[in-house]
Amino acid sequence: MRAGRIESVSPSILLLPGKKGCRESLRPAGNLQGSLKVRVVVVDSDVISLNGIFAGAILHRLQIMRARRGLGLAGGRVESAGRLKDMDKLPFENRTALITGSSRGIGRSIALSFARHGADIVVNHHRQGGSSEAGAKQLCDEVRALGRRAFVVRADISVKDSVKGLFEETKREFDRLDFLILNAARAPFKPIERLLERELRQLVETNYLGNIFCIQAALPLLEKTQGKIVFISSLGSRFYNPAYPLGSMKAAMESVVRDTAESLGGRGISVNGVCAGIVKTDSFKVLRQYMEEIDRMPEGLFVEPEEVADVVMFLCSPAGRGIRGQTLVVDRGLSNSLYRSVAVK
Amino acid sequence: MKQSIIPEEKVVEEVNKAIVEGLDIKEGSVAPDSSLIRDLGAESLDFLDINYRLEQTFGIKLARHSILEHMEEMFGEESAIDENGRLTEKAAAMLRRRFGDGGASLEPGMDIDEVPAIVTVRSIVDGVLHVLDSLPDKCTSCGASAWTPEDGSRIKCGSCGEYAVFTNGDDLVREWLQEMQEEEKIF
Ligand SMILES: NC(=O)c1ccc[n+]([C@@H]2O[C@H](COP(=O)([O-])OP(=O)(O)OC[C@H]3O[C@@H](n4cnc5c(N)ncnc54)[C@H](OP(=O)(O)O)[C@@H]3O)[C@@H](O)[C@H]2O)c1
Ligand SMILES: [Zn+2]
Repeated sequence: MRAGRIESVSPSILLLPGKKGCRESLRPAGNLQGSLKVRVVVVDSDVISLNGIFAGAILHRLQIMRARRGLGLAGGRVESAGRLKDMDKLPFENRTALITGSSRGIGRSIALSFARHGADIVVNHHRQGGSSEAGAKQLCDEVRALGRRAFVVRADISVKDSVKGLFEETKREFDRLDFLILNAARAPFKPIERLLERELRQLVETNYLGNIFCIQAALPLLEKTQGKIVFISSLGSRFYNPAYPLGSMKAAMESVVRDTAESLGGRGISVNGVCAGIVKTDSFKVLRQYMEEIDRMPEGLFVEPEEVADVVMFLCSPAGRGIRGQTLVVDRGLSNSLYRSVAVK
Repeated sequence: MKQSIIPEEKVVEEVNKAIVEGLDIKEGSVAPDSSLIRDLGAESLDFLDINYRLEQTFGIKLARHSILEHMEEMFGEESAIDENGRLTEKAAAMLRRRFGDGGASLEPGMDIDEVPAIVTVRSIVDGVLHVLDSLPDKCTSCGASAWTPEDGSRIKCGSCGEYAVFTNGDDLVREWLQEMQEEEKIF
């Protein structure tokens, strides 16, 4: 076996050259803190075995730690899931991610996560001026501060021409797209039977048609990179939520995820979804008005935007390569339990 | 019933506080006729913040839907907002009655996105007072008429200790629209 080659053996064990039987444990630094804990087993070989999303970043960190202790790490090249790559490269370096609706909330968090893992970012939002434009611009600055490229495109995903412009600009600026994250959403909070025709149309145009327009317009770019699509869904796709007609669109989109995973799979494009529990973003402020008791839900059941972003990273990483057409639930177990003892404030 | 347990000054004070905190602006920059959007830089989400604060303070539920949405639900789609997203004549007439002087800038044909700019500090005070005035004569839990203030902003039953239950803001808006329609036959 060659020095520095990575074998995909187990998601949490690194096999390193060194003194046989010696064990090291390592917690990844920075934004990987807490997301992953690896056990390091040093064997009498020059094989590094690692199968996992943060392979590059972990080994980079490990290399530094071992160098400090005077231990070597054979080879300087590493890649998750079996291929060789430069050691200090981040997993998504030279990759490009477009996140719809990334001026704030979950979309913003996903964009930052991609940037931290090396990707260049297309930020998209809809409203002109105000906090929306300011938020998009600030995100762009933060991405650039991480050493990545970023630009903002204001576009309304519910308007086909606007979507066309979004992807034309992506092509012009980056000339590639690896990850399309369908995150933008907007909907009235009202029981379905009370929706006006205008509201119904807007509901479908933004949250169903808009996502499909994006998929269609992204195809030529995604095909070239064997890219990935991740749709951000919500528990409303499966469960009743008062005054939440968006749920029906999420259900439709989860079906589109299954459908396109097959129809686009042959062209090398993977499609999956992440179904988030309840996240305290701006839209939570609206939700709170209709779910009055929600303030009494234990804090531990609220999902952080970063937790959603982490699973998006996983799906986009080589570690997620075997997952197709699935929508993974990230809700801290909220939907898993039929019974909960009375929530305390 | 017009309640007098929570004085208007208290409502004004709490509205000012909610606006200053919700918008993160300097105290003293809020005048009764300041438009939240035009003068204080508020966005639609900020209204949620401000309303939430006021609801917590007074134990009330303010309207979640705009008066235009209620008009459309009650008097038919496009009765208030036309197919081009513009304010209809009838809706403008109704809004002027609701907002009095504050509604002076309303014009039929204006873009409905510009309508929320007529909301002033004073109109939020009125909205809160309107809900507080829905205080029932008697406690809905025990039937006593013994309302007493608590912490200056909540109303409690002096007999059983339950908090007062008010009509919610959306129902009040609908009631008001219904009455106005019966009187003036605008739609
Ligand atoms: N928050 C939760 O509890 C929760 C739970 C499960 C799933 N989700 C899902 O996660 C996603 C993000 O949620 P969030 O809470 O972060 O939302 P948010 O804070 O309301 O942000 C929504 C984002 O979408 C953008 N957007 C809205 N309409 C658009 C359009 N027509 N074209 C382009 N961009 C548009 C907004 O841009 P502007 O700034 O221009 O308005 C904003 O950037 C949504 O799909 C939501 O359904 C949320
Ligand atoms: Zn009582």
